[in-house]
Amino acid sequence: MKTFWTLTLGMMALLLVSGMVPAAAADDEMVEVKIELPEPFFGGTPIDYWSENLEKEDFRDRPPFMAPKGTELVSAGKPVTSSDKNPSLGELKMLVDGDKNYAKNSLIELADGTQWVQIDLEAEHEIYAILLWHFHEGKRVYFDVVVQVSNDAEFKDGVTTLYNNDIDNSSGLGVGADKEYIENNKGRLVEAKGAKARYVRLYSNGNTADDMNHYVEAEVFARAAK
Amino acid sequence: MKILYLALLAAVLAVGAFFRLHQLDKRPLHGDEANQAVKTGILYDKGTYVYDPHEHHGPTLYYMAQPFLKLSGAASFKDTQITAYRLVPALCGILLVALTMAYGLGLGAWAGFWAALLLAVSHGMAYYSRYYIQEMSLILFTWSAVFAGWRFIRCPGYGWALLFGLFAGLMHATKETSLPIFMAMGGALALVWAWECLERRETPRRAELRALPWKPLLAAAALAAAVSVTFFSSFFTHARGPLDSVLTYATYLKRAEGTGSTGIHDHPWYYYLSLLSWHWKMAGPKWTEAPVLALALFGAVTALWPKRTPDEDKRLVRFLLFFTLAMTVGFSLIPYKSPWNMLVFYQGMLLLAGCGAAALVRMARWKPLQAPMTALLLAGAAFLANQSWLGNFKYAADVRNPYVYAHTSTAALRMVDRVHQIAAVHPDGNRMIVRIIRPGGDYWPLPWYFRDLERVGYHVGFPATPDAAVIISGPELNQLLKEHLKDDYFVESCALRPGISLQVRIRRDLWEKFMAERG
Repeated sequence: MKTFWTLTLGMMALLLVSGMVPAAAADDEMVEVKIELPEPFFGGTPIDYWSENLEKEDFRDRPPFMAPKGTELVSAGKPVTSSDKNPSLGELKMLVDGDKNYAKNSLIELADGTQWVQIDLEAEHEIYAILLWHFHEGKRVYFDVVVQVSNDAEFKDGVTTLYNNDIDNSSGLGVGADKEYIENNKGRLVEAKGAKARYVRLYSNGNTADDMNHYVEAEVFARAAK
Repeated sequence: MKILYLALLAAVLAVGAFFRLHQLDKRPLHGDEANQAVKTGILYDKGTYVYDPHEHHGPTLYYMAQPFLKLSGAASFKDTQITAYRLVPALCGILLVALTMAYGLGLGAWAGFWAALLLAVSHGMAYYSRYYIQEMSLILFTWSAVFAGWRFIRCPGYGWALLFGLFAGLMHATKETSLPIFMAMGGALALVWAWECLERRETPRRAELRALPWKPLLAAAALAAAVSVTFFSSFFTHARGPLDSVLTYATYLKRAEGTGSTGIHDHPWYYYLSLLSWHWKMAGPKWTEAPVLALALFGAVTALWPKRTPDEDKRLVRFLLFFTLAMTVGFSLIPYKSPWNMLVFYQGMLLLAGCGAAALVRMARWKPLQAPMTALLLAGAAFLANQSWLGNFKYAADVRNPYVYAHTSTAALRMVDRVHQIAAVHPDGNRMIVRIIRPGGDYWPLPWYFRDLERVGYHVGFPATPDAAVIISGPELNQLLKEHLKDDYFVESCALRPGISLQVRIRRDLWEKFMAERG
């Protein structure tokens, strides 16, 4: 009888485990995240800027971005705040309105100096990618691009820096080792590797054309945190 | 009513002063401003000035700045700050607002008020009243001369004639473009006379010419010449100056044709009109002076109406129209153009706009109609004031601003800060060696910003030993520098102006020391 129960329980455990393994595998299955790119801009003058930290321009298509199944665009229409309460162009909500066009009316312009915009995802998420388009009507490099995530709306505690190209710490957020890059319609994809956070904050400090800070769009691809 | 009117004038003057004096040091120096400041500094330090017939314009600006530098307490040029220099055009700009009010004596009190209000809040006029170049003083002297000339015609006598002579002399001693302005003035005067003859259905008579008060006019001409000679001879210390002030027109005629290196300033005939009417290059504010243009057009139409109000001098209004028109056409036909050159005729447009605004309110004879008309005009002035705020304080050095012309980029200031930061960690401090290698000599306004550094070399050729603590050069020298430099450098890049990139090489050990101290 003891053998019967041992076998039965063993079989049930085996079945349970065999049933669960595929479930867990399905949960972590990597799938391609669908990213919609805006129309490229052809025109403008070549950029007259070079630095040791400037990434070589890559004209190839970005390889598909893979993230665990269930990762989706979670930033659309979410509340946006900024260090500049009154942008001189556009409105903060335009950061997550889905309009990534280079046209003059899609742009948010923040004041000069180091400025940030912040997206509230309204709940903690496992974040896999953050895409940002500062400007893509012509070529520019934005300075001191820093991307941080946190569960603290004030960004005082539990801050994770995902990207920082401020090589001389002029924005005071620490010296970064990431590259400066030339803006284009593909935007910049910052990998977040499942960082858990509710808030996403994007910094910049002027650009090669003027001192202002600009955003066309920002997208956060994530899934609800477990 | 008179007290209310005077209070309104005082308020307009205060608004004009605000736009001209607030944050005077905010915008980086344009290369031309820096150049003028360095020449002023030489006069301040050494007491010498020599007129250069090929560049830099007339001497009045340098002499006018001296009291401001003294009052600022600067012991020498390297201690001076830009605010002391920019106070000269700023005060000229404020005086121009006051002068425009005085024009109300001949155009009508309310025309003077509206013109002064539009001038006080004008984006372009305020912008170049904060710019250390000759333009604003030239405009003030020109329109002061016109005012004195008009008063002289009304009451001929030595007083107004001599005042006219003084301003005419100052115009000549300020900028070479005074010549086409004098020509336009003469042409406009002839047209007003011809118009009157037509109105009277009479042919011009010699007797009228003979009846002119020639003696005061000759005295005016003598004073104008004396003022000009005094300035161009550097107060009688440089004998060749007055001759050069005449010979210079050979240079400026070539420049006006747009030949040689000045070809980059060649613009189509409609350049000034398009700057004033509509400017929207890329994402950013849309700029227009359309309210002034529309009112000026209406004012021009009313200038030709035979019926006038009692406080309006029809000859002055007509002169204003012909003078403004002649300058607009003349300056538009000259291929060489820069935005500040249009301001002298834009002042005429502002005066005409004042006439137009006053006529509009007058036309709405029924009082309840006058209130909305006045409100509409005030709304137009508020629109212009907002534009002026954006252009002077938010987009002061931004290429989207129509008045930003080959301007030093704000990024250049980061470079200036960086060089000073490196000097701070260098054992020699301000005696650190900096090499600026620019074969074309295009390094302005850096001599202004590095005036406190004692060992800065401005190389127009490639130096035999280019190594230094900091080297600033254009990207075209990269290969040559790579071949000749012995030390290791950290390289940064920044725009001196739009399209002019500079690379800053900081000796690696100094960069690392700077970063170690910055943490």
